[in-house]
Amino acid sequence: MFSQRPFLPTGAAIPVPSSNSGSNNNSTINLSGSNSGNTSNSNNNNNSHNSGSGNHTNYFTSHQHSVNSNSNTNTNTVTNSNSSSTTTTNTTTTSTTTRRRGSSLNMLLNTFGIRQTSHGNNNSNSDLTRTSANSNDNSSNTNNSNSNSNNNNNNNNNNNTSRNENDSSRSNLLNSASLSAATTGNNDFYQLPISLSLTGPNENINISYTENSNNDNSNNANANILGVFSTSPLGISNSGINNSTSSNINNNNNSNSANFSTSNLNHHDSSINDINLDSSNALRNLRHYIYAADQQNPDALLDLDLPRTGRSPEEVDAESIKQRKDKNGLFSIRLTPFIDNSTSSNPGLFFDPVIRTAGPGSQLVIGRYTERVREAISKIPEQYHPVVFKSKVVSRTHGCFKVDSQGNWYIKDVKSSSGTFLNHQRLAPAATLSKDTLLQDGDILQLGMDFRGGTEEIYRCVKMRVELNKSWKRRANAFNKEALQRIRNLQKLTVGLEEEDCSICLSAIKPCQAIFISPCSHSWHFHCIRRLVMMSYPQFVCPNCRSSCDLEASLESSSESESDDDDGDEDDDIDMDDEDAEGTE
Amino acid sequence: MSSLPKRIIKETERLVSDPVPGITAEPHDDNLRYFEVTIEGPQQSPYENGVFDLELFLPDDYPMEAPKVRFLTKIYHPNIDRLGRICLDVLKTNWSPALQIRTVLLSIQALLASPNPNDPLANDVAEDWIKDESSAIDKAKQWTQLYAQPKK
Repeated sequence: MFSQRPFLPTGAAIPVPSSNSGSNNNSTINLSGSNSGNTSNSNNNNNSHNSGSGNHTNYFTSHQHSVNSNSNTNTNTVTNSNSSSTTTTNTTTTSTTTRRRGSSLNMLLNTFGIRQTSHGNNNSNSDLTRTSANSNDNSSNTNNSNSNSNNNNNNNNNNNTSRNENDSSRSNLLNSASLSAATTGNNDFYQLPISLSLTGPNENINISYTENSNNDNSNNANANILGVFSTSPLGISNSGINNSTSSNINNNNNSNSANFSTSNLNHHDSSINDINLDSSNALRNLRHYIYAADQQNPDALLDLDLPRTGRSPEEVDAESIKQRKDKNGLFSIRLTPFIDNSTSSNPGLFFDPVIRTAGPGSQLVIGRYTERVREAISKIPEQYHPVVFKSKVVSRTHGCFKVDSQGNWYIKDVKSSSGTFLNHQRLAPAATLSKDTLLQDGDILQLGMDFRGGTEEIYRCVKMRVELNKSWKRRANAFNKEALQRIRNLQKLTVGLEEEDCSICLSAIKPCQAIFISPCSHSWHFHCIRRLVMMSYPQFVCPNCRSSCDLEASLESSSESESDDDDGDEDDDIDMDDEDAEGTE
Repeated sequence: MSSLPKRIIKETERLVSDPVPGITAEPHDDNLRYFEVTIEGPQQSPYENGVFDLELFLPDDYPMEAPKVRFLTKIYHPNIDRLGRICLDVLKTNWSPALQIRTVLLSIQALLASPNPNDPLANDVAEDWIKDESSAIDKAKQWTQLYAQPKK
């Protein structure tokens, strides 16, 4: 083991990075210690970088190894034997799960094509430069390779704390700094990319954050990584595999295994084999990727499989691409329920409009809402969530949306059991992958088919209208604002005072919001008053002035009393007349 | 637990930033729909100088449904029964979503100022009130002295 010792300094020659590594180290252990299987935000941000990219994963698994080997050299400074042992198990098991995840992903990607490898190759450098723990990567990797070769040395594991403590004490400052950097998230600046799988065995989110510090050691790290994988017992060493293995940092359901790295490695050997045998299982692990706006080589990531015939994306110039993006440079998709009452069939599942934003190269999973999904996505802002529906006719992993560098959106069915229909045409027969089919604004998309007649909501198919890249979001133009101002003026005339706010939600009424104006000239958001109107329709008692109005009153009646009013405008008259009528009641 | 509607947050903020004189309402730490309320007895009423504790709860359907309000302090009042329940139209049939916590509490304060024994909730109190108003008022004052003293 001492022979490893020299590697460490060369890898992590600079003291600052090493402390950096310490911080990461720290957070890992915190995560695994909490063991809830969920991401505690800040820590996670730190660690999670791995998600999209192979190097990261490497970093993780290897990192743990490095911990172990280090502890070897520092044995017996353990103060809290308890905590030390738990951390050990946690870390090691973590590596197990990560491996497993990676392999299944690998399978998936193999089925999809070369996404994985391209991803790894293209991004390895950038990714490395982005991780704060880059230097750590180096050191840990060297150690890792060593530890791989020394798999059978179990001796070190209980002594982790010595190293950990060192690290933590060294890195407290940095740690807090990086944490704050990672957690200052309002949604707009949420750390991208995100990568998660909805259905993996112990699913977890990895949220990555980017840091632009350049790392001189990246080359070294690469070399190390390759080395590690070539020595890995599985021979699945192409960089692709580990790319996305990242996610399971926190899930330590296996924590009871007080075994050491060897056993763990064996463990995931077998698991990998299992999954290799079962490619469909890998498919179920279709991952949800949301990349940031500045993602490199997004189109290569997507690995689009376009149909030979049919629609193909039009060439667009830079200006219109820019228009397709929101202020953060992300593309967007909005799905609204398509309620078609004209046919005799069921109207489909109702759901709140879904809006998702994603950078170029992103892949959004479409699936079923399950408890596991709920947990997995609870920590990330809704705009980056996968698209999930509470319907049993939607497969757990039904398909995915992809968005390319030009803001073109594609839909793909990944062997869903009851199909995906684009404008009433099924994308692919059952149990086959569909092509990536170009979506256009206004397309009608249907997931699954009604089951048991769709009488129960849970068995209804999902029909939705697709709107792309903010096309639904008209800005309030001058006309909109002027119209609202006119309504306000009208109210000032009739009610006497200007009421800015909706009295039900206490928020301002803004342009482009649906308004309900009662005959007594009070107004509310239609959204707020709707229930009240429906409750007693056609009678309506104004919540503000308690005057009772007849909403079915004939529109002709206003002409009778026209002579009473000398206001010119006809519209005005209607309102005024009605109010007069109500006032007498 | 579902997230708190924006309206409730706004109301709570306004209760803090622009409090009603003689009335305090603070949301409970554990449940932001549960308010601890105190109302000072209005002047020139039998309840003058008393400070009454109430609890107020905003149901899930608020503001479509009225808040639930109850006196915690014993009070001798024809429209408030021994369990502290309040007979007030705006809390029942006349509720309107345009009303707020603030207006409800003001209504309760007004109810203290003008008891209505002809539409009683506490029948025994109402009978006393109708038979002999002055003695009933004396009793209300006594109870205020006994139970509604401000906590120092």
